[in-house]
Amino acid sequence: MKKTNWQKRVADFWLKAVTERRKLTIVLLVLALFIGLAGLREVRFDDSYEALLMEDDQVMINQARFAEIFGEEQMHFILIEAEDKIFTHSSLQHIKNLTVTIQEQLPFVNDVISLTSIDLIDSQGDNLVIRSLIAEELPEDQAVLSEIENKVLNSQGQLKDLLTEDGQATGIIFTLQDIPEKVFVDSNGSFNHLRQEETMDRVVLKGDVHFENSPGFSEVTEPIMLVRPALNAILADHNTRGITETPTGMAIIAFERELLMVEEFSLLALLALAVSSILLMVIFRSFRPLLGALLVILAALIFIFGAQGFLGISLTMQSLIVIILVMVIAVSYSIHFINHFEFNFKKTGARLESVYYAYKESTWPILITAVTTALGFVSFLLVPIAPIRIVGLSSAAGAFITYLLVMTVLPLIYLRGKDKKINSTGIAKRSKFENLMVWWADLVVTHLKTVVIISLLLVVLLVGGLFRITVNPDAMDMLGDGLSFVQDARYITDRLGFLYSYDVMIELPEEEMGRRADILQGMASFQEELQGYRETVTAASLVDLIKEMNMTMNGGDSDYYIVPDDDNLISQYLLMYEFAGGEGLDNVVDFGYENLRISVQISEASGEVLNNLNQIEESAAQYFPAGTNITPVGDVAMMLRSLDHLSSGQIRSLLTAVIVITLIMMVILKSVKLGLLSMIPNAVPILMILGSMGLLGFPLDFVTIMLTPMILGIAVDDTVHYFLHFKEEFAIHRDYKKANQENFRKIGKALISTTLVLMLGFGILALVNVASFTTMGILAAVGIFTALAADMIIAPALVTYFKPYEEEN
Amino acid sequence: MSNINKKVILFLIVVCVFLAITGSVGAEELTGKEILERSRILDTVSDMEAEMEMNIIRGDRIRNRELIMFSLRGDDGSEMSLMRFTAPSDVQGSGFLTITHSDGQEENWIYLPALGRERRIISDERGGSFMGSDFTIEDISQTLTDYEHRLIEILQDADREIYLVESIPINEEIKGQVGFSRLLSYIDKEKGYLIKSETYADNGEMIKLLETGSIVEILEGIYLPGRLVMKDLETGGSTELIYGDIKINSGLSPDYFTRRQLSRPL
Repeated sequence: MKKTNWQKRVADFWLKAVTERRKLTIVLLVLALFIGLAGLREVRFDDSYEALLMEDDQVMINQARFAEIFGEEQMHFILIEAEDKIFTHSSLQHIKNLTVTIQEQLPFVNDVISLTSIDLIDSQGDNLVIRSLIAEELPEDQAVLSEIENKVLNSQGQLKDLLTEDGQATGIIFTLQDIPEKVFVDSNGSFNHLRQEETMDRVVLKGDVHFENSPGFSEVTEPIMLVRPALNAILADHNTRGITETPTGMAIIAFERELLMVEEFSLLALLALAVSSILLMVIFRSFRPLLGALLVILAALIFIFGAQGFLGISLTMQSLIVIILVMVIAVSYSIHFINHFEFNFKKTGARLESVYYAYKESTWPILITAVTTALGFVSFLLVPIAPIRIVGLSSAAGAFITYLLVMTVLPLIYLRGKDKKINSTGIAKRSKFENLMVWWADLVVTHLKTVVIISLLLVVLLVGGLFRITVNPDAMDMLGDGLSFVQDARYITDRLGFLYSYDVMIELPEEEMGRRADILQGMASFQEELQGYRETVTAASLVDLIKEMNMTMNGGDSDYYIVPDDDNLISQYLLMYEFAGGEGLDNVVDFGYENLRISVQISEASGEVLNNLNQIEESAAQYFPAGTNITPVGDVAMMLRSLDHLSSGQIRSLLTAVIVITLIMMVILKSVKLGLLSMIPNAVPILMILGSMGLLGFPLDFVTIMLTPMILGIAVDDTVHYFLHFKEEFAIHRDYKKANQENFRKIGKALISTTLVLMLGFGILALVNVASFTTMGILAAVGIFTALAADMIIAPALVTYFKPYEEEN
Repeated sequence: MSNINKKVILFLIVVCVFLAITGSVGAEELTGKEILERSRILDTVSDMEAEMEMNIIRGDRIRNRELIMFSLRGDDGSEMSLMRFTAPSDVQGSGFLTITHSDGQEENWIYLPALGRERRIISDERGGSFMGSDFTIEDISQTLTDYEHRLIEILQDADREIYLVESIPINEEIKGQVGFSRLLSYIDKEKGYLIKSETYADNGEMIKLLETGSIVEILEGIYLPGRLVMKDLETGGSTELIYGDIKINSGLSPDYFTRRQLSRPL
């Protein structure tokens, strides 16, 4: 490649930085490292559904409005299973004790509902009965308990959901109140929520949580993380023979995921270091490149994650990608630089001159690959899902940071040491590998027809797979069944029938409308429609309470299980309910009777539910007066929005990456035709990944969505090399066959070794104990291999068939 | 006393607890418990009636309820109470009658005018907020023996002395039931009425604040705060109670506490 003046100037600048200003460069590097390390202390993890969507997303705005009216309630479950039966004195005593302790000791707990705390509105003859399901003094008589058990099994709504049909399992349901952004604990030093000893006297309980800071207190920036250790301690404290408890819910899953991430991040980082070390040792058989690349990887990760810490950008599960990317490109860039250095050093034996040569030869090509890789990741910004955007930005920054570090750290290391005396100069003989490459080059060119037929067949097969890709926003599926807390959540879903829920927020046009008979009757019909959906387990609202009271006030006659026509009667029922001690009205209707909610529990977050939710506004319109706003909110609504973002974001992101990288290829190759041609081998790995996802049933999710733009950005590097070098060889030989042979002979090894590095690097992801990452690791390795295959089969076929260089010469 | 009965006369108790007889404060200072006992005259009252306005305040919204209340302690130890709503119009006439017989048997009746008849109600409901307000039973009808009381100090206000009494639940179970770990009561030393009280959670943070005002001398030496405001510092909500036309020992008859009286038009 012709070296322009500015490239020489850049090489001069680098050389000056690492020679004349070596000390300053080292001091600046060390200083930056310390700053990065300080930032690392601020790094937080966040994997909630809220963290998925951008704050200005309409769903998030709705969610915030809902939380303002009804509180940010998060429902959690503890499945209690008895070897014998739940309705025995001892089991119920256990549940009662546990219910009381959770209410008193669990941080942020709001309501605790269990068989021993739930109230019942019932009719006994002409009397209205409002009392606890089970008396304060637990009955000892088994006959009495069996009678209550039958009442529960034959009841409706929430009470029925509390006991499985076999009578052996029940649930304690607790909700958490609005959790502040930070709280304080008296820790006598630093506090790490992940490292709490989970016993009642050592764990942070409700009374230990402070909302104001004081001397000696530690700040807890993710207060929700205090819940699971406290709950575990409570459960351990109430351990009873013959009874097992399995908790689940957002606070449990968030904690387990953070624990998992910390473990997986450490494991992955260690593996990445081990693999990079082995690769570098195999390739260079020297500690110098190993030391250089490891320093680059370490420093790059400290800078990237440290910056995220300072900027308050939480790490998410997707951030694992950044570790792999940095490792892979650090090794890859190092190989390029060291190759050039050694090429010159073998000839001249002069260190300084060889470093300068390496700068001149590698600054431009490595920069191009950094740019194309970064562009692939920058396209993630078109997916309005926060963690994906964060990974996009941090990876793009990571590509440049790694580039800068390679160009600074490696020369600093390679400049140390003495010059070497050169005894002989001679032209090296062709190696066996080079002969193999030449044979390969000929094979492809002489079997053009076969290449075309096989390629077309493959494309047809993969395009067929494209249409079978499914989209899955389910966090549990993404994590996979290999994790114990996912198994727990699934088990509880099986036993109790539900795990996911959503709410429908009904905003009426005027205050006090929410107690009008006609409005509540419309709401009852709408609720029945929701109840009719296949996946709905229960739908609950204020309407149930009114119906229940109307029935009980009319002697328990089920004909009266309706919303009465009289507005005043409804107001009086509500007054009676409040007077009799009924609580929780503010959970179903706001203070001004203007905003109502219907809570729907569902058995699965299937596509069908999501379709129903999409049409909810339309179908609700017939039941409510004009001016009413109907909005689905909650985790499932967020999933729905994420699903939309995933499908459209994938297409937008990939298309943008393709267009921008095509433009860059046109600029680099200085030809529109060549630019377009070069994108054909780049399209093959993308098609391979997407087609395989469809054919093998790997869904598009919050992790796998990143695959195609990322692989495009990485795979394009080898194509750049192939087409650029071909141009140089063609200029020399003026013959396509010969140019192709020489091209493969010179860059074949580099193509294959970088592919190996990339495949191994991304392959590590398959070892992460998270289903989506396993999928990503496998598909990325397949994609990268396909990219090599495309560069070694399709690219030569295209070039020799279309002969695009001729017109230039 | 039954829970329902407790609730029905809850707001009469409010008056009783916070209205106080001027005690003859002797040369010796009272103990914390004695100071609180002195401010409770419920046992000395045979009947009471009052009008009450309740304003539950949430942000800039106010829910108003008005009612009249009657209570009577029978000679045989029975207790009766009657509450009738006078406003707002959609609940006007609704009433609650509770009779606790001397043998402890309890009768609770409700009357909803829109239904046109009274129904007996059986409830063992265990507490929580009263009618959606920021008051709970525990805020008002604390059993003095459930706490250890201590006179912390005597504060000097501009023109009066104030007892500061601390009450702490005697055990964890009671603490769990009442939902707080410490209560500070500020009581006028001379007139014996409660000026304010502060409720604290386990972590030492104040969660509720009750303030009284409009103090009137209802009978000789008996002072009444005609206005009480309970603020829930956690939710930001508050409830205001305004009393009027309070009568004590006016000679109410047991005949007044009947189902017929419950459903009589106001």
